Amino acid sequence: MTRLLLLLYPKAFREEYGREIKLSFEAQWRREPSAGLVLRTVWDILQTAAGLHVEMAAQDVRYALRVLRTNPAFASAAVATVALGIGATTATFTLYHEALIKAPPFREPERMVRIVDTNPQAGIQSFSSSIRNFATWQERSSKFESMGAFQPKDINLTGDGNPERVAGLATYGAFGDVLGIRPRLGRWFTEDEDKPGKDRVILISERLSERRGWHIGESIEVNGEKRTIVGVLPDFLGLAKGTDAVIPMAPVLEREGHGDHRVFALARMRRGVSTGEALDEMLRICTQLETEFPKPNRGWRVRLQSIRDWLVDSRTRETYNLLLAAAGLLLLVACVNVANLLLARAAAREKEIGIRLAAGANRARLTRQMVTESLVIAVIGGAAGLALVGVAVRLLLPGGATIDFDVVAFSAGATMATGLLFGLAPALKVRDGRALPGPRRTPVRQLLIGSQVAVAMVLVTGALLLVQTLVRMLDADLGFQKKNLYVAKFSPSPKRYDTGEKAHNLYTSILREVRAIPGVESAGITSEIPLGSMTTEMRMIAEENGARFQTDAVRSNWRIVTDGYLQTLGVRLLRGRFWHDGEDPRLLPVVINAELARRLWPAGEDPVGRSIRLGNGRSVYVIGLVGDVRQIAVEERSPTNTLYFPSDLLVWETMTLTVRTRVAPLSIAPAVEAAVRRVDPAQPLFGVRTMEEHLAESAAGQRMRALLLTVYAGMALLLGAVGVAGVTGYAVARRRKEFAIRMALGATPVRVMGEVTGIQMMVCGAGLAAGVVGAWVLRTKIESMLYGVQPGSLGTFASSASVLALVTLLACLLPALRVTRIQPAAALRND
Amino acid sequence: MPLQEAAFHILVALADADKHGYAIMQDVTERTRGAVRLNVGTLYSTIKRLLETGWIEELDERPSEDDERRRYYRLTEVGRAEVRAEAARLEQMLLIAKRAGLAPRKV
Repeated sequence: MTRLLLLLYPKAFREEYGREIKLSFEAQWRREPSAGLVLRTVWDILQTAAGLHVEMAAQDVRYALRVLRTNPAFASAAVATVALGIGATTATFTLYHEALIKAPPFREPERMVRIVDTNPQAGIQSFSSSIRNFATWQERSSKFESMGAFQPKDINLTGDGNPERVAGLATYGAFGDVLGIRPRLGRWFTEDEDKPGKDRVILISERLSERRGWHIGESIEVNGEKRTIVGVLPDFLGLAKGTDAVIPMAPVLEREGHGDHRVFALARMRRGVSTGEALDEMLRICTQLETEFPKPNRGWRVRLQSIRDWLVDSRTRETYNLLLAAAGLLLLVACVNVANLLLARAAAREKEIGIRLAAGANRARLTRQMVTESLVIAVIGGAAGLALVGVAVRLLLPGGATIDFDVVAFSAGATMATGLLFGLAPALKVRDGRALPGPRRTPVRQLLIGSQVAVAMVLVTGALLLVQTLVRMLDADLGFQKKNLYVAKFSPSPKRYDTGEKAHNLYTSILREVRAIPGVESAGITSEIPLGSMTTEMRMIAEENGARFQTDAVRSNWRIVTDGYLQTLGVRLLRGRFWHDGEDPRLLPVVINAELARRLWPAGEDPVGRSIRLGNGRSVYVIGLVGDVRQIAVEERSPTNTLYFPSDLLVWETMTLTVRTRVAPLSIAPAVEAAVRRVDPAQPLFGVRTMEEHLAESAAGQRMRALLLTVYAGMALLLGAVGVAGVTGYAVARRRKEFAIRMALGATPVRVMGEVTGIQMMVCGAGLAAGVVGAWVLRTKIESMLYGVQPGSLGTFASSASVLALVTLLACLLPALRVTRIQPAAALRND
Repeated sequence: MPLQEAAFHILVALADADKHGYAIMQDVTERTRGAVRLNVGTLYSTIKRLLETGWIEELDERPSEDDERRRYYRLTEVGRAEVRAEAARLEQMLLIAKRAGLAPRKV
């Protein structure tokens, strides 16, 4: 037992006094064998052990600081390297934390689920829900404490002066209870306010309340009608950033179609109910609904998705995992560099350490001191790194990310791990008293160098792949002309423009005004531009196959477009025609893209003049066939099949105006705004930008990935080069005298240089080979993030390998050139 | 700086003769009539500090009758001066307390 307790003491103390302590205790025990003695002794040892540790650590830290001060070049190099590594890792973790870890503001989020509609028969994995079915779920389920549905909705606020559009939600059911978020002031909607006619209420965000000076009880004009503010919500509801207003959906349930999937359904499970139980019940209700309303509900089921999985999709998760891994690798390279520095210095301090050992210094004590020194470097470097990140976050992401306890804890942990990692090698050397590194015996350092080259190779290849992806994406052929396009959104009030015809008239008037603006070439309006945030899909089949609708229908994207929209985008008309004035709306004339034609008529029949049966039983008539446009994402494997509806067919909430200009697109912005105001003064435009800006924004994720990985790769390359150069330079310095003698005896500098760099190059070569293997593995991991990079293309590997080879070659040769400057006579005379 | 109590007792125990650790513990217990009992942890961590400050030193050779080959310690001149100073300081404090009417009846 005493032996166990003794382990609590610092090793040096234990070695010195362990035996004495044991003997004395045994003597005490012989005189007084009592439990009291044992207790007293245990307590005493615990206290004194803690005291000794603290004392020793303080001593070592003081000593380490003194040593570091005497060698400022070494100290600053080591600290800067650590700061770089910790800074990069912490910065990445800050982003990672922000996106993946930070708890959503919901109460007990683990009980929250999104109810996702699926239709396995039709191959649908994830779909929104119909409000009618949702109401039935609410009625019949017992496993949920509350259920709420919502739909994102842009809301026009008019009333006192300038019209403004804000991002909002329309909710149904116990939405506030599901989230478990209390309004800052006031209340959520009552059940009554969810009914049509009683819904003249609104909740606004704190931000909006402050900005416009609106308070509870006030009446404001929303989408053209008066609503009373009943509550003020926190700015962030955990769903979409920037939600400024919430209104009740207040649907007329009897008029809602069971098959009209348009809301997101959220639910909070009762305490103690498992997801499995809740799902079983939901599936039973789905089967009931299928029997009761077979036509719209055939095959529709649900799955329950945890709220976290819904908010953070797997793609985001993958991206951040990749970045964190890359930063980790960079930190590893930084560690290796510092370890190398320490080893080189341990070699230089060989004499000092030897003397101290000979003078009776305790080996354990010396080891402890070395580790403390490493930790001191790590802590200073880590603090500098964290400070850098703090500044960077404040400058680059104002209000975007916060450095909180988790981030600091992560940074501290990484710092300690780093310190131990790079402090290990030199400390072990002292402990085992092994021969300190000599000219030819540097296996550890060679291994470290090799691994640096390998890691740098992996990072450089990864960066090259992502940069290529980004470049390919930015100049990919999207199926339309992206230059000189102005885009802006607007949301016609559903009360004023409640029929397709009224909406169509609004669009026509706006377009007439806009087309008259000087510098405008053409203009058109659509429900969603390519790569927009919304996807709208429906099922359809060629009219002649209508009987097989249930089994063979094709899912297709659809858009509402005015005449002129496709021409403005520069989408090619392949066959048939676009709409023209005086089109007979009863025919329901539509335009489809080539991909949809291929899916509907695989045999290659001419689609123009044929009809398509839609899910609601109506048929539309194809008047034109146009080229494919990338609607959903640049990197999708096959083009999106798309059906274009004319704008008088149905009403849509938020429309996008697109204008092709002969001048800089944004220069016409004021004129366009004025034109729209002339048509409808209560019609704010928002999201005004150029198509190129819109596309760049949709590639923001790729851009961030590529940028960060490139920075990491560059830093790893730099650090790796410094590491290799350092080791070579050191080898030259150590063998200066030997080289001098050999050169005096007639050896050529080239030969000597070859000898110095030979091993280094072999090591780098081995590292490079390992790096190629690593990069290949990485490539398979990030395959889903790549676009336009040929699978198995050797080009990327060849280029990153040659960059690495060139850099390491230089790093080997440049320091070796010093050999040629050795003056044999001087070198020999010197010591 | 006042001397740590354990250090004071150890120095006093070494005043008349060189002793090993266990003998110091016994001596302290006897001298204080059981009021102060040093435990092994306090004893050796204090010895370590006293060695570092040079107030005591370790003997190179051990008395021949010692079969356990224990380590023996001796009070140095510096150490002796320190205990004296400490004792004087304590006396001074006692005097101050007495003048204030706070001294124990019998010392």
